[in-house]
Amino acid sequence: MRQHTHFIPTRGVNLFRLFRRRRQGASRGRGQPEGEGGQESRHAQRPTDEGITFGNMPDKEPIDPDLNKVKARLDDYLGDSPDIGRRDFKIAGKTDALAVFVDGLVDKALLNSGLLRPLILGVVEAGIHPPINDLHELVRTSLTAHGIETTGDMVQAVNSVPDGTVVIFIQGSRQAILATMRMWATRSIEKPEERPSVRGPKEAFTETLRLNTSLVRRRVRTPLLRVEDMKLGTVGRAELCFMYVKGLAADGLVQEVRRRLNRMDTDISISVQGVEECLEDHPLSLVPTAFTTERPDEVAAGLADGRVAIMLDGTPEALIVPTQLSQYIQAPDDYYTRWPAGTVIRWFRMFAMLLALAAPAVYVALITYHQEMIPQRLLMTLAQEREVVPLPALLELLLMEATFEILREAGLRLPRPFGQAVSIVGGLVIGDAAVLAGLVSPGMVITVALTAVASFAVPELSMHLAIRIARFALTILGGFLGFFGVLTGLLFMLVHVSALRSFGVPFLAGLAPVSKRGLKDLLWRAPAWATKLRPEHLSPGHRQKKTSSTRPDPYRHDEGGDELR
Amino acid sequence: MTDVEQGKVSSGQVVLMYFVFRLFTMAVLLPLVSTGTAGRDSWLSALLVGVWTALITLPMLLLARRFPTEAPAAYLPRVVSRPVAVVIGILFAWYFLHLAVIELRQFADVLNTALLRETPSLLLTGLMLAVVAYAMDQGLEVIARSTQIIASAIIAIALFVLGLSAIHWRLENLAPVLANGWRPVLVTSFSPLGWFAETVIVLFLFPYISDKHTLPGKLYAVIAASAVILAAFGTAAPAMFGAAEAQRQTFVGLTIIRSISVAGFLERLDPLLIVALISGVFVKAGVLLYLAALVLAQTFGLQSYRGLVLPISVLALGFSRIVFESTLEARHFFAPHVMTPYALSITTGLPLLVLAVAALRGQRGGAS
Repeated sequence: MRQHTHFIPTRGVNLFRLFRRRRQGASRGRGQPEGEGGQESRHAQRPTDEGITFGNMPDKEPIDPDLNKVKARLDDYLGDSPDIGRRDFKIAGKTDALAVFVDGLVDKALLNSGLLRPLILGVVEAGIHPPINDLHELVRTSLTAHGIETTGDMVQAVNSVPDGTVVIFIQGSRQAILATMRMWATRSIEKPEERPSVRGPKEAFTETLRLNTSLVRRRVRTPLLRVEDMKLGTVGRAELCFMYVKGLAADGLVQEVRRRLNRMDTDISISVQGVEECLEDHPLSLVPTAFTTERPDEVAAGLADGRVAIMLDGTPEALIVPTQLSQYIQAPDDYYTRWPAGTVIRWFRMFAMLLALAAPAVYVALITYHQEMIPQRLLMTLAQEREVVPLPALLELLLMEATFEILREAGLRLPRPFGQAVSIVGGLVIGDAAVLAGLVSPGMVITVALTAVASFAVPELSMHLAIRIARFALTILGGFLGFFGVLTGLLFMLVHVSALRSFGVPFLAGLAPVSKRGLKDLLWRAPAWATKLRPEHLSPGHRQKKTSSTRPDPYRHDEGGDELR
Repeated sequence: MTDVEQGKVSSGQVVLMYFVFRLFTMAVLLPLVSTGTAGRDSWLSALLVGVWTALITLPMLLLARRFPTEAPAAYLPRVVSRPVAVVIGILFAWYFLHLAVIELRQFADVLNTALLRETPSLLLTGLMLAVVAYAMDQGLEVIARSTQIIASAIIAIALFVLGLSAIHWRLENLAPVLANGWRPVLVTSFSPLGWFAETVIVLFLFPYISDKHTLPGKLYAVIAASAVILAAFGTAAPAMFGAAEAQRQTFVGLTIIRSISVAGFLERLDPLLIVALISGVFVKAGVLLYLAALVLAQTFGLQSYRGLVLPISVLALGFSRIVFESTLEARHFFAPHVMTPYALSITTGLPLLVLAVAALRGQRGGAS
């Protein structure tokens, strides 16, 4: 017989369901002996819980007007955790009341000045005398704090306590006052680390949702910016929100985002990647189909294009959907430098992506099968180098790649002082010594190094990782079938990427199906005055960005060119 | 009845498919030179091919526009009775399958000649068919999008190679013009026509095109472009090797690329041909096998064509082994008096017949 000693199963919501179902089954006499017995033994361990456990939290419960009964009920719900603050007081010295809050999540100064002080001292001035019959009147006339509402539901009241809400129960009232007074220690706004830029804004998101939404709203000041909130996770209950500009984002898209977010069912989501995995059109693909960014400026640009941004409290990143290949090729700096430079650097970046994906595969294919395609002199040098190497090219390369991946991982995980040591040992000792010892050829080291450097030029982490993994498959194909293998592998990837959609929009939109507007985001970085339309696949209704040409021309009459000349 | 294909493609994507078809055939076989007899006047034949293709495409387009929103399998029973419609459907499915098989075989043969001499061609064809089957399963839109990207690469390669080969052209090889009169030029112009008749794919893709009205213009532009590029190849081969030598080559395109040498370092350009070849055969086999599956599924009223993807791919793999005994036999099949009548009777004859019957009966489909 399995004993359920834990109150909270640790492996996902399905386990909960199983657990609950099994217990119901037992009470119906289906012969699951652990059901009732398990429940009783738990009660014996924790007498204070009185049966309110994770699995059987009611959906709704009226608030008892008797404050003592409320207190007992609160013990059921919240237990006696020391971080739950309770403050007994009397309204105007007469009516008993109780404030409940989480110590460390509420602003105590505000609690005193905006809530307790007016209730204890100020109510009489407002002309309200106990007993309190009308809570709304009380809130309107005597409380000075913002974000106050009332509820008649015990469960809602209890649930809002961990959100940083102060809940006030009043003797004789079937209602409770909920006052949002959240304040907790946060990280300040720092520079983006994952997607840094030389020029341009240097703000990155933090772990606080409201701060993040304010960072976006500061850049998108149209009143039509909409933010929709919801709670995510039965245990985590984190705030999740999505933002869009009403009228720019297609209605169908917004509905679909709302539908997929509501569909999510999880215990806790500690990262936006968990959300991403539940939202994607192609959950099994290596390629990301929701764009992750830590930059408010990128979110703002996405919103202006008609995309939807999704943010989760407690994570310093936002998701942008739908996303296209073009977003993974763009880097923030493209738009913070002059457009010709932005364009040319983007080309180099695309070339680097290609190198990162295919360079080792092509090298192995050349060395193993197609020596006649290597210029003669180079071939001689390569052959000389490889003379002493004991391994076939494919194995040699996989060995080097594996070493490099391990070095990279080690360098990342270790504290910084150690990280340096790893890079010295890895780069100098292993790399150099391996060549000297004749284990690998210098050509191979160059290939692996070039690939590694190129892969760091991929501006987005998910895509960088996808390329890194796909590279191994391609390399093995190249090692077994030469160019044919490499090209077949690339074809497969092409078909796969062509088949991808992000919230219904083709991942390759702009390139295939091709469009002039789409290429401006992809093949070149068009100057700011050259883009008159929004991407057609995103906001079909309102494509026009500007009505007339804004290309600067000092010789045009309407710009006062005559005076200048 | 809902159609088995729900996707939409643009007319640009469809004509790009056809363009890739053309460039692929030129790169591999160049029937104009290999099976033609016009020799140094091949380029004239190439331009004539463009004219013939424009003509034979007309009935296909007229028929497609008569029933703009319906697949042929939907309107054929109304026009020519159900049994005849089934026969026509099977004929077209066979034609698409046969073409795909020929191309797959050609592709494997070139790879075995130029790149991987000892790799079993069954493996080469099989792996390619695996990717093709994956694309077929993903549907028309995905094939179209992949084609769009591949097309840009293949067009760039074709122009690059032609441009570089021009350095080696000895135009005196082309003189005298029309030394043998018009007759060989005319005969030769029918040699590539069997391949150019692949425009018939638009007849089957027409219902899925979102901007139907732009199709004829774009299609004719692509036919003209194909004819011009073919003429350039028809100039390049005799101008580089002389007419007799050019005809003797098994794979003219490969020979042209291998002969390119610019300033001592821009040579060994075979990889370019390999890229064009592999991505080209993907598009060609992908579209043709997809159409074979689609036509069969529609003709027999299947719920989905996807169940046919695997059988057709396996069939193509097997057929590609037995379609020809040797390249010599292939050459005989590609001759103007075999391949061209075979292809034209299906691609042009059948649509013409159906169009005539529909016109006589005054039948039309829904508005475009």
